[in-house]
Amino acid sequence: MTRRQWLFRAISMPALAVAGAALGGIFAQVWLAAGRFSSRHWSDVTAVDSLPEEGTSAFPGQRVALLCRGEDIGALSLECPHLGCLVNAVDQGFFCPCHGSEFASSGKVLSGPASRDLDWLPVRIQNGRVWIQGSTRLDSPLWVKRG
Amino acid sequence: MAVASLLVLAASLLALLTGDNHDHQFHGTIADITVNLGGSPVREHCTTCHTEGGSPTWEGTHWMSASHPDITPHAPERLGCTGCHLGEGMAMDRTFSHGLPGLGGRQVLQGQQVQGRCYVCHELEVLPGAEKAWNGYRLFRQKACYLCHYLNGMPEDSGFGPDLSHVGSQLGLAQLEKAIRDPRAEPDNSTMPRFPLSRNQVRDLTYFLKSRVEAPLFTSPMWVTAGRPAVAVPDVVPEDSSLVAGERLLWQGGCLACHQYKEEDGRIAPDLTRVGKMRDRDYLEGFLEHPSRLIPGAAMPPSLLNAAAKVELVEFLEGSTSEEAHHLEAKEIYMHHCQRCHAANGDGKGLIQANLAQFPRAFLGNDGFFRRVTDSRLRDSLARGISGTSMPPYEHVLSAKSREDLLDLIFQSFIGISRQDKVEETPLPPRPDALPLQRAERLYDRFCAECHGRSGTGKGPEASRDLPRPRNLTNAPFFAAIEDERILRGILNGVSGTAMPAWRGVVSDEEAWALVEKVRRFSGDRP
Repeated sequence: MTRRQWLFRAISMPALAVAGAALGGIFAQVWLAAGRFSSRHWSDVTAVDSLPEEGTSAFPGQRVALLCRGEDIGALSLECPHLGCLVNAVDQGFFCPCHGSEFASSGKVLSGPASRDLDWLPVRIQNGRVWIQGSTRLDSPLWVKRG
Repeated sequence: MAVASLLVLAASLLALLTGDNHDHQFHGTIADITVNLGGSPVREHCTTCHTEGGSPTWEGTHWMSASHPDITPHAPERLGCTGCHLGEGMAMDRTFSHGLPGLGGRQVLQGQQVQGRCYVCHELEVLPGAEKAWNGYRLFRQKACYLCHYLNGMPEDSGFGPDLSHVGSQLGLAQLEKAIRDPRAEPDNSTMPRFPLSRNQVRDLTYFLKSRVEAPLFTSPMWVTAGRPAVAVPDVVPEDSSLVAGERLLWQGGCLACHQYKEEDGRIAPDLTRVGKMRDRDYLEGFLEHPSRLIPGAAMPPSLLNAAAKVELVEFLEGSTSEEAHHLEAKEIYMHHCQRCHAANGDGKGLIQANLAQFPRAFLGNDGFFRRVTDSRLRDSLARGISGTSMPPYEHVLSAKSREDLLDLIFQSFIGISRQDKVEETPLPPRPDALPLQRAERLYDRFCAECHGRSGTGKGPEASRDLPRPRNLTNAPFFAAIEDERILRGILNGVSGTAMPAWRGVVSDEEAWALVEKVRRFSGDRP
């Protein structure tokens, strides 16, 4: 190795490392910030005890309906998969007031411009309260046990 | 979606290339001002052309403009332009800065239209200069729009129709006007009735709705987060000392925005004058709570009155007397009770037909139907009503003789046949022991779902083609009141005067019975 080569390496290697570290740092910060604003945010809906044994309870304020099937609780998004209007919980299931899409009480699309079922949301029970992850969408039901 | 956005892009480019060719090439300095609106800085280039605020003219070398009208106590140089006039303040081109074609959410407002922005900064209260927008808000309360449409800040928690809290950010005045004037233009299955409003009233409403935006400037961020900046609620009860408490409730509950009560008429929904005589207390209380349980598909939203007020209202309706001193002729009875739905010429397209869950039976030219209906069924429908529909029972309102006269009149004047003129019905096949239920499912999807819908609600893809609309098969109260044989007869022989064809020959007798079973499952009579 000539002196010139050694000198070149001695300067370029640390420079590369510093540039890489800076880029990595920026990337990490963006990554973390994105995480903070991401959908992984849990919100409290209601107390488990206030839910009925069987049936659907709609919480339009939180854009979610909680489905109770005995011991199981599931969370269904109330946003119509067509254009995002809030669907109404009716006796036969769900009905979208904007363009008339109909969904069964399991969220299955029955008719209307909506082309897919209502989305399921992640749900968990903590200290007797039901929590949902508002903006994460699941395409298959997630049931959790009461209590 | 992608195609639509491409089209919009292409349209805007085209507008840019063609529409503004005659626009003067401007090479001077771009005016760039920053104003503070509701705590956030807003940059604008509008004063490049609108130098003094008014409409601009090109003077060969530079732009000149008339001065802005006096808007004291506001100061245009402190408020900027886009806060009141909308438009794209940062755009460098006329087409873009005045709002792109499309939904018109940021289309520039001119002259009187600026009223549509007053209540973005000001709280909802009487405001000099915003009289039309305030009148729009009064109309919103008077016409009981709040019963269906939720608005941020309103005391009512309605969720029956689309939320209009941000509609001003999404639609332009023209789109709002179109949606109010003809709600069924888009989408065609909308349940919103067409309100009898004058052109000026519609315009006032659009000014008010245009002010319902995502982030109103008068609210603090905490109000917005809480979702409820409170608004004043104007009293819609007319100042009339002769109003009794129950009548006031009819106003307060928004009932008279649609229904008729004596002389007051909303021209949207049935007459309530004698409803307390026709329906019993349980029915009325149940109906106020869940209209669509008793009349599935009813356009009426659940009442927002509190429980005590509901009880008081029902008591008032029950006690309300209808003074029919002299004996009415059948003709007068028809015009009093029937023509609001069945129409004065008997074709079923009465004043409120479009807002009813079921099409009122047409009399005119519908002899095919009436030849096949027994006289006792007709008498029954008139006396006891038809459950699951808006047809009320008349046995406590009209005497037996009046009802007979009325039927005679309907046959004589509209149907055009004698009441005894009936066709011999072909006998029905007996119900088999084992039903091909699997096959019925496939047959339903193949033949019936097109009109009656996969969910059986009568809203299939072809449903809007026909009037009367296909029967809602999930109408539990209607189907609970009729026997299997009538459903079977409908399937095998079809229903005259409707689009329901005869399926005899297409489906076998057992299959028809299995379809009856399928209908019963839809209506919840069988598991």
